[in-house]
Amino acid sequence: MAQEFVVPAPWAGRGWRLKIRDRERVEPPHVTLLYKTRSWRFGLRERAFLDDDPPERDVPRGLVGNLEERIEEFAAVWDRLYPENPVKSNESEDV
Amino acid sequence: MRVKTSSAAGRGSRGKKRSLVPPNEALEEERHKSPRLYIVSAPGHRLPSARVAEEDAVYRIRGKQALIDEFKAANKHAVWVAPNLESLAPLVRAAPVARGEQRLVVLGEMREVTHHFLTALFRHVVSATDHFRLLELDELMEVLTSPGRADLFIGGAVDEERGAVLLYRGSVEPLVVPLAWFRNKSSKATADPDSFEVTDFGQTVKLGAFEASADAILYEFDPEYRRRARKRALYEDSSFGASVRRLRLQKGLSRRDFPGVTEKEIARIERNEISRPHARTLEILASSLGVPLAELATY
Repeated sequence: MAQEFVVPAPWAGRGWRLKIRDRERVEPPHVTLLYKTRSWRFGLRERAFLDDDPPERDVPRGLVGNLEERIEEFAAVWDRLYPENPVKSNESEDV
Repeated sequence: MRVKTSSAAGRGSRGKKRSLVPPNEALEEERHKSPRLYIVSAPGHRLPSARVAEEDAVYRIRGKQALIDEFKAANKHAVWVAPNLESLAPLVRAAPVARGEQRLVVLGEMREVTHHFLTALFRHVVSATDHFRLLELDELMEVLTSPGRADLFIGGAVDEERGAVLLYRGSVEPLVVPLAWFRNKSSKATADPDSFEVTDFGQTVKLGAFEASADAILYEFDPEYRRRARKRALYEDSSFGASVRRLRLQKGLSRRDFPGVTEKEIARIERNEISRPHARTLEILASSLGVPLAELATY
């Protein structure tokens, strides 16, 4: 089941959403921040946006800070939904 | 936001008489620069407005003659939105020659025979029916006026008997995805084909409680989207080995799932330690991953 995370005030009431869905691009692990027709993938290993680092006018810095503080929360959900590609990858490099 | 109006009276907002067909080359060139959105007005129907990027334009069409003239002059990839079939009746009766690959979204329901008539004029026709679900109206207009509308979905339908999901993009182009793709063995939700909808302003496809991102769908099924997405990625390793690894993980396979190729060899390929895998190995990779050989490096 897709996981939608709480978006803190003041952004929650403005249409921002935060999700890990049942089918995402699996690599790299990420949580998706959505606002209307736009979205940004936030990498759970990189602890940064994965595409086109958005300016503050697009994504408030306060919201970005909130994402950075909650990496463990997102990672736990990601690992549950995508155990074949966890945030801390367990694929052996010594094969 | 630029919203242009073309009306049968030929008068703009300041009461000055305007030509129904662009009179000069500059305006004509503008029409053909990139696809446009045409909104057909009808009495009693007011479509929600939406913010439009500066470089785009929305044409609101009022009146029978304006509808016909604008159809003839429109960019060949233009998208039209009509509140109902009646608003398009003048166009159907005039039966102008179909031009280019224009697309149509009709917000009201229509009979199948009408759908056939309209496909004589438009390359793709989409309307809400019992089986075809469109986005909620305000989200739909937001998507259709978005610069990135081609990478968003506006609606679709499920054919459970044939195991397929038909999706329409904001550019009103169809995309068919196998119903079996909508699964994740680690998720508590299973896809319910009887409960289909598009949400999150076209960014999520839902089958009951099961949700799939438009990004994941397009990345797997549209090579052009994949190419653009890879260009935007900040941290992505663009090597062949990394592409194979991403594709393998996306397909839910382990390194042991390639008959005829050892786990060790797969790992070495993914680490780019084998610069030129054997042709037979590449065939096994492509076959096991379910993609054409030429696309192995594009993920």
